[in-house]
This record gives sequence, structure tokens and C-alpha cells, in this order.
Amino acid sequence: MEGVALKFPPLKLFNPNFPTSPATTVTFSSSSSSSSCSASLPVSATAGKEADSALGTLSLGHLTRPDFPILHQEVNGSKLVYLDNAATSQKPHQVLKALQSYYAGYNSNVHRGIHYLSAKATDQYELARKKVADFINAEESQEIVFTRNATEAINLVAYSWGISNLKPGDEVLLTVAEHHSAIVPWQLVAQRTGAVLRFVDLDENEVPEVEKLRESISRKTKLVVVHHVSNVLASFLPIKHIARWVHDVGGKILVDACQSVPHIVVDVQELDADFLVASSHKMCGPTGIGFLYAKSDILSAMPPFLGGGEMISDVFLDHSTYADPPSRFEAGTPAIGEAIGLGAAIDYLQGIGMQKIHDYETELANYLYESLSTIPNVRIYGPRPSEKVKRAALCSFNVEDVHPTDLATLLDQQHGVAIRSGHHCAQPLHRYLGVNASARASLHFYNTKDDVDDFINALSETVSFLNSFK
Amino acid sequence: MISSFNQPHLRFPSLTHEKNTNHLRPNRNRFIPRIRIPPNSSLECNCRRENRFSDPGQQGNIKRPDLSVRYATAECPTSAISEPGLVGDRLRVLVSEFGSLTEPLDRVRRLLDYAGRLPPFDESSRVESNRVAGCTTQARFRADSDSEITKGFISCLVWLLDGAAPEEVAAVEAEDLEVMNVGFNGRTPSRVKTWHNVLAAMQKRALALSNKKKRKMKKKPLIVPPILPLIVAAEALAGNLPNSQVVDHI
Repeated sequence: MEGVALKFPPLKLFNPNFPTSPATTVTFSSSSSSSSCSASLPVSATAGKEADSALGTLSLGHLTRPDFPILHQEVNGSKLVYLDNAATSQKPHQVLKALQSYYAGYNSNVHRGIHYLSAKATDQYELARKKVADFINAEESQEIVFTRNATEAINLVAYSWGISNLKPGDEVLLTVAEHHSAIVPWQLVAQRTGAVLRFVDLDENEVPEVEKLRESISRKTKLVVVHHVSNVLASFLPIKHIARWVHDVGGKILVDACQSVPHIVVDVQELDADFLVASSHKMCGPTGIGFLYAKSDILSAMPPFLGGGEMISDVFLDHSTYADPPSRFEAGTPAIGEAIGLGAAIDYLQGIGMQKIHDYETELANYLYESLSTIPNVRIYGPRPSEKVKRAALCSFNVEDVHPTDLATLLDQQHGVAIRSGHHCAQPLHRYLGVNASARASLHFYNTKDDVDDFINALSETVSFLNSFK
Repeated sequence: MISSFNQPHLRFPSLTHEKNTNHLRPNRNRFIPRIRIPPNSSLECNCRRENRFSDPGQQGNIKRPDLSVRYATAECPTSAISEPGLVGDRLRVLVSEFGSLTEPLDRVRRLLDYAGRLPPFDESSRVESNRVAGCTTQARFRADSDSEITKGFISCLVWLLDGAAPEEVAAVEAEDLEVMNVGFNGRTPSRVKTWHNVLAAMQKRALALSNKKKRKMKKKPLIVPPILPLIVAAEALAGNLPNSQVVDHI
């Protein structure tokens, strides 16, 4: 019962509520059996000029919103405006259906079962692995290790690769803008191995100083750990160049792709990443599943991380032998349904096309930044967007004399606008910027410029309200 | 001292040396409280804004919000024993007042008004020599925060507990004050509920000083009630993790 992970070309999306030419709903089944892991995407039956011009007036956000049931609700008496996507994304009903189908139809433990349900679950689980591999253009499925999330994936690299490869005096290079999950595991491993952590500061544009990073790479550099897209600064790092510099000295690069995989085309061959991590819940998939990509030769040489069932070959009382990757790193019963849900999310994203998502979100990013800049006394962190400098569709910011938590509280309570307030798991970055906390609005392809307008209006009212008490 | 990094920044209040603040009055009279603020209360103070600084970053003269931490360490006064049941009475007043404000925005407005009544935090009090071992049964509090809503909560907590016996301070539960909540729904303590942490810190310190005093008098110490896990964990981590590489300054 072999399945195929289809690579979908970008499709036109049709809003069933929009009165144009009749649409056809097409179900793409990703295995020979029915209904197991299908992505149902409404597709325009006619792709002619008439349909084009009709669709052209609707943004990607407007077209995809109907697929996300959670967005259609009120909170505290106002329409929900969800702008906390960097924390977690929402799930289309295709993903919800995949989860339901799994648990209702063929939930069973994977890999060693003989019976029909187990075989089907195993097929779909491994098919999800293949979908992830294809999504990031890995050479083979075996280079994808399913984990609980990106944090666990980084810990896997730290405790497996790091402990056995780092020696006293070896350097691990990071930036001050890294997420805690990319910093803390290396602190713990550095304590045990005697390796040294070095952090690159930001430049005058509030982007990690790439030249300084390049200069800091030496023969001592065994690993560079960097974000692809910053969850606070919204900036991009030139991973391809950094990878080349570190490979030239015999080191490796670990890419935190949590904020890039859901939003842009990520190709691990093009980036030449040694390790790459991402979380499902940020890319329209369920929580509880994420993955580590690692080049197969690196993965083969890594010792186990967690021990237990599934990752062994033979178990004796005094020793055990271990399975080949990726099983070697997947101890215990995995999050089977969730992996299949992630596969469905990838199908959905592929159905839109990651380049299309990227282009739309670039437009949203600029609109958000420019709109937010109109608020008096606002300070947005990260680079100013331009032709050369792209920003992700998020803004971390502060308003003078107003605490971000007060902002977030009132935006939620009075306007139904959901943003985040805090350090966004980047305390070193906030300390560097000289603040304790910031507010953050972060968008995804199902947001619209209307959402941005609602946010800006609500923010303006909230700031005025709070300032009236001073 | 532990800072809750992501939250409205504050240091947990300590027991303070009582100063007569009668002469300081709030400079706004927009709101006439339904509760009478006792004349000796530390609520009758101006609240000054501090520490403007310019940001040389890309947005020119935009100033960063004053998110610095301010707190007091001080001593436990030797004033008269507080009236039993004081906290209970004040709690009933608070609950009644906030309970009558059915609109969350009205509760926010009330809190923001109370924020303005919180006395300024005296930086000069922040010295170890102000700590006094042993004290009477009365606890006095000063606190501050850079979030106005949290400051409003703190203002109410200070009014509620200022001058009360440590045992009464310890007996207050966060659930008793749920009617004051704005914005945060749900019953589980989360790191966002800063004012729960403030209450817990006030209780912890009140009992700590009471225990100290009782040990001095060779009496059996009070049993300290369980502290919210967040605070214990934070303090334990800061003090006890060997060779910790917790980033505290780069």
C-alpha cells in the first residue's frame, strides 16, 4: 500500500461564496487507499480571464480565510483579529479532517504491527515523513526525524551530536537574536563539554551583523546556530552564505527555520544546511510534532538521544544495539496522528504554493510596518523594509510610556485583537535592545489588510485611552 | 531578587519602613473613590514618572518606555498591632466595588486611577541596612510596576494589606480578588497574572519576617503556606543552579 507525496503546482483558489464561474472541489488523495490523508482544495474549474479578474480583487487572505474555522468567532464581543501567528498558526479544516480521519478510521501503533490498521497507520506516518522531506527538498525521507517540536529537535542535536563532537575550547557561534530554544540547549551542552558560546550583536539596522559573524568564524568554530527569520526583528539571514563560510572551516550549521518554513520556500539543498529544525504548529499543522532535518551522513554517525522502544535493533540486559536513522532518534510511540496532520498541512500549503504565500506576506509585511509607523511614539524593532531589505510579516514594537502588556490586555478586551506581549522567548535580544518586553503582531497568509487596519485602529484607540490617564 | 522578565517589570515588594505620607496627595481628582482611603495610607501620594532617555536608534527621538525596575527594600515597623479582621473588611469593600463594575473597561479605568495613587518608590530605601530583623505583627508594603494596569492592582493590594497582621496577609487568596480581573480569563495561574505573583510575594515576605521575629522570641514559627510554583522555581533557579549559564548580561 504505497502512497505518493504529490508536489502540487500553485493552484488558483476559489472562494465558494464569491459569485463567479462554477467551481469544482477536487480531492487529492495521497495514497492508493481512500480518504486517509487527502487534501481537499476548492479549485476553480475555469482559469480563464474572467475568473482571473474576478479573483484578482480578492487577496490570498480573503480566499483562504473560509478554510480556517477558528477565525470566524467573536471574542469579548468583538470579531476575532488573530495576529499572533509567530506564536502559533491556525489550522485549516483539511488538517482537522485528517486528524479526525486518523483517529476515527485507522488509529494504530506503527512500525511493528501486522494487522490492517497498523499497516495503514504506518504507511500514512511514513508518507507524512516523505511529504516533509519533499517540502524542504531533502534528498531522502530518512533525513527527517520527527520530534515533538523544534525545541526538542535542537536538543536532539545538542545532546547527540554536540556531546559527542564538541571538545573544550570549541566554539559555537550564535546571535543575540536567537530564540531561547536555540540558546539554552547549547549552554547546557557547553557546560558539559567545555565548548564556548559566542554571540554576534546587531548592526545599526537591528539585524545580526553578518560581516562580524563571518569574521568570527574560525577553525575553532564547530557549529553556527542561527535563525533563518527572526521572530522579533522580522529580519532574514543569508543562510546560504553563512553555511559556506562555516563549511570552509570544517564546521556545521544548524538553521532554526521555525519562522521561515511556514512562510517562504525553504530548500535545504540550496541552503546547504547541515541541520534544520521547524515546528508543525507554526505551519498550520497540529501541535506535538516537529522535525529535524540532518544530512544523512551526519545523522548516521550520531548516537541516540532518547532511549526506549522503536529506536533499538536488539535489546539485551547489559546492552542494546540501535536502529538506523531516523528510527534511532524516535524512541517510543510517536505522535502518529499529528505527523499525519502535519502531512495534511503541507499538502494544503503546497496547494497554495509557498512562493505565492511569500509574495503575499511580503506585501502584508510592508503594509503592517508602514501602518504601524503612523502611530505616534511607536518604536518598531528590526530593519526598515526596502527593495533590498525584506521583512517577515511581523512587527515587535513598543509605544512610549505604555507597557506592552497593558496594550495587549486592552486590545484583546476591547477590540478582539490578539497580539503577544513579552520577551517572545528572546530575553537576550530584549536586553540588548534595552527593553524588558515588547508587543508583537504577526501575520500569516490568512490575514488581510483589513486585519491590519483593525489592529491599527484598535491600537490607536488603546494608546489614547491609556495616555488619558497620565 | 528575581525579575519576571516578560511581565510588567517589578520587584516583589518588601516590608517597608513606615513613613508618614499624609502630606503627599494625588494630583488628579478625576475619580472620587467609593472607599475611604485612610489618612495614613500610602495611597495618598504623587506618582512621579522617571527616567526619560532618548533612543539613538532609527526612529530618532522616540523614547523607549520606562521599563526599569523599581522596588524598595526596607524594614518592618514597630508600630501598633493592627486591628483584627482589617483585611477581611477591606477585602469586602474591594470585592463590592469591583463587583459592581460589570464592564471590564470600567474595571480597567478604576485600576488606572488607582495606579495614579500608588506612592512613589523611594530609591534611597533600597539598601540592605534598611532591613530589620524582627518586627511587630504589622506589615507595611510599598511596590511599583511599569505597567499601569498592574500598578492599579498593586495599589489595591497595598491598600488591602498595608498595616495588616502577617497571618491576615497570608490568608488572602488570589481567588478572593478574581472580581478585579481584567483581560485574563481562566482560573489557572499563568505567568501573565503578575499581580498574583505580587500577592504571593507580599505573603511570603510577611510570613518570613513574622517567622524571624518568632524565632527571635523562641516561639514556634508559623508554617509558611505553599508559594506559587512560579516564584519558587524562579528563585530556586537563580540561586541554586550550579555553574549556571543563565544569560544575565551580554
